[in-house]
Amino acid sequence: MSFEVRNLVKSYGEKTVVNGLSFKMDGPGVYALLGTNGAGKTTSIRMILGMLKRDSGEVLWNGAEMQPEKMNIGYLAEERGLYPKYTLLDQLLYFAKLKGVGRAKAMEKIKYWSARLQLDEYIFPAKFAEEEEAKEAKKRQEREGEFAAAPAPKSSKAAKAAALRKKRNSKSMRAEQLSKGNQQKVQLMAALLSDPEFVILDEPMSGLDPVNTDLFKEVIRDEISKDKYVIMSSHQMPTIEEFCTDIIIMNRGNVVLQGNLNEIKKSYGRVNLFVKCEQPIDALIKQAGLTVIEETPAETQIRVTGEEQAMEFLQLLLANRITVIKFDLREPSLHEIFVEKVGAGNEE
Amino acid sequence: MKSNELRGTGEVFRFTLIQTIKSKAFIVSVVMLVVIALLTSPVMQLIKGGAAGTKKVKTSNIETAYVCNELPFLPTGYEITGNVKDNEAFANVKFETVQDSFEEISKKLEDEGSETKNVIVHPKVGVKGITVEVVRVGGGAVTTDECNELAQILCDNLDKYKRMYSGLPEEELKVLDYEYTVEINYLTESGELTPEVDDGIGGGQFGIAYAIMFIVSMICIMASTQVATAVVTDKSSRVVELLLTSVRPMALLMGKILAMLVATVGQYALLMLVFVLSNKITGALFGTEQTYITSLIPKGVLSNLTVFNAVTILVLIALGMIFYATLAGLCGAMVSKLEELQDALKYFTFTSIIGMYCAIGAIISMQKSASNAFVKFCEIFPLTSPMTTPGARIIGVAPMSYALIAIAILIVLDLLTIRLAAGVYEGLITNMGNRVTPKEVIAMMRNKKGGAK
Repeated sequence: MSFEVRNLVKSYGEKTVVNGLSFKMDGPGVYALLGTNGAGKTTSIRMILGMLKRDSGEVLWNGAEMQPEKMNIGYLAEERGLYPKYTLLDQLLYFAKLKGVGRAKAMEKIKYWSARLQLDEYIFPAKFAEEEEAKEAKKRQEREGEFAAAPAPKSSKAAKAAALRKKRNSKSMRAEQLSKGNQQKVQLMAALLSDPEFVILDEPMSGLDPVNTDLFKEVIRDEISKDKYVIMSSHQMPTIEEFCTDIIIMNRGNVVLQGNLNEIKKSYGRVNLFVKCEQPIDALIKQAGLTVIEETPAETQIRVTGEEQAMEFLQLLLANRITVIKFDLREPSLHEIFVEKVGAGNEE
Repeated sequence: MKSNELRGTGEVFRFTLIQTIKSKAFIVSVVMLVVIALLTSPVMQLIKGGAAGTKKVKTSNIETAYVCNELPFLPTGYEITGNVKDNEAFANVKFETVQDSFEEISKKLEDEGSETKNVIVHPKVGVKGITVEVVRVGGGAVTTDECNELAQILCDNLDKYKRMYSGLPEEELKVLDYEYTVEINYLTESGELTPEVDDGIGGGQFGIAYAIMFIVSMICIMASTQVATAVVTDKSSRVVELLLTSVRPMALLMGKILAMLVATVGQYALLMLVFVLSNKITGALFGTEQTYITSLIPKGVLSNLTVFNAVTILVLIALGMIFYATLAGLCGAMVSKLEELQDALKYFTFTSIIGMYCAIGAIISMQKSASNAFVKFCEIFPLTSPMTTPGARIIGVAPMSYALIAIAILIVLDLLTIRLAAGVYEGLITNMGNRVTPKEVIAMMRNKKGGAK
């Protein structure tokens, strides 16, 4: 199977918001769409999904025109959305049914994802309460020992009230009752319920706390390991570096850089030198004619032309009896490449 | 319309319908309407029917009726109470003709006390004509309804005796029963005598046509507003992007329209059912076959309601609803926030008000003539036909050909409106910005460019 986008163009009046976007995925993997706000990433995704009509270009799946409504696509939109007044369970079942998943299978999937994304408390409050009660009872038993007195039986009135409370609380919560982060988890769940073969994640981790970010990363990693086609858009460069094999950097609708991430980095060469020494080295940097990019208490980042210049600088340090703690010659980070490309584009 | 454009309509329909029915607003409105429907008939019966003496007596409590006849014209041998005993309710009543004066017999009845089941029947000639007086003891076992019914039977008897008293033969008496018919004719320029046809509808027919127009208008407006709200909710809650990966905008729109129509029609059908049941129960409780509400419905009004006619009417109403709901959906597609909906709905409100007022005008003018040009225009004009023609068909003043023409026009218009609405909906579905004006919509359709971010 293959996925290909050919020369996608979209204009609004005089303004071209996507100008000739092309890329190809010959097999499963992760393709990253990078760009500043308004670069055209979301518009490109919407055109790929057929939500927006394109002015020109093609979107092909296995060489034929892609028909998103006939495919099993998981989509986490940048504009997060759930019906605020409807219960989470109703909504998730609806989304699953629209994808052609039967009710029984959908329930099974919802239960799985609800547990995995720690959403039982909101989707299955009764089940969650029972489990919590059981855990509490187990803990109490462990704490008080086997011979601890059994709890006094509740009066029938109290039992009725408790049953009523339980019944009232057993209903799945409405989306408006959830925090933003939890709503985001429900939406990731909606995107993955049908076990899609093609997944589009638009800014999946934006606005998440570190714990939930890790949870999302784990889920995404799992999806990648299942040999799926994933397109991911993000502003978080470390995340992209962690997951993506190929990237496209867009700026004002134009593609400014495209290709395999490792090859791109290689093409830049190892030009970033990170040095930490016991003695001050400012004078030696000046003497070697090098440029300091950034200086922090932990290290000094220096721009070199390549390995040869780096080795010359190391020899200079050693000749001056400088104690070197760290000497690390690296390729540029994606962040640096992005800033360089997009910055250059903006200056133009 | 391609089949894949409608793929998923069923799911959208089911979900929208279930969520609408589960919503508090829907439940509260249904409960309120059902309570009103339940109470209308018994309350009206208590206010109007109870006092009007429509309650039918099954077995009278009257034991003896003292007949104190003061009429001068009763032929010898005839009794005013002649066939009263033929009536089951009064079969056991004993009629006793008294020679005493009315005052004396009244004193006697008074002496019998409040427990008495006897009454006085006192026919006499007064200033305005014959009066049949039935006297009972206040607070006694005999009710006003019984006295009323007995008096009515006696009046019918007297009517026969009155005709016999005239001494005219039966043939001549028939002349007295002749009814009057007014016919105004005019001469045309060619000298032909042409009748001036009076085809205006009566009060009862007007009531039926108006009630149907009102109900259809209410359903159209209510369902359409809900469709618009549902369309904007999808956009304002941003769910639409997720939905569009599975269904086409056309399926989303159609699913919502059908769900809202079914919900609203179901609401009104339940209302009608409860109303009919309540009316039946009221009849049983008050011991009458015809309640006050039933008495308002003209006799034979449902004689035009054949199966074919009913199907035609339902199709016409459904097509009209789809038209109005699609129009409202189009208005909903033009905005992205619920607070902007009211403003966008002005185009729908304007159109529906024109339709409703024209329909009201047509039904009012039917009272003068059901075949005037305005009425006929409203019977086929798509904005008014769903409201005017069903009622006109039921009361039998609109020809079937007009109903079929109205259906044909609505089918064409519905297809065009749905196509337009789906196009605009598709083009603006991801528009989360400001409200789009009709001018921009037209420009967008002309350029066939999708969307604006």
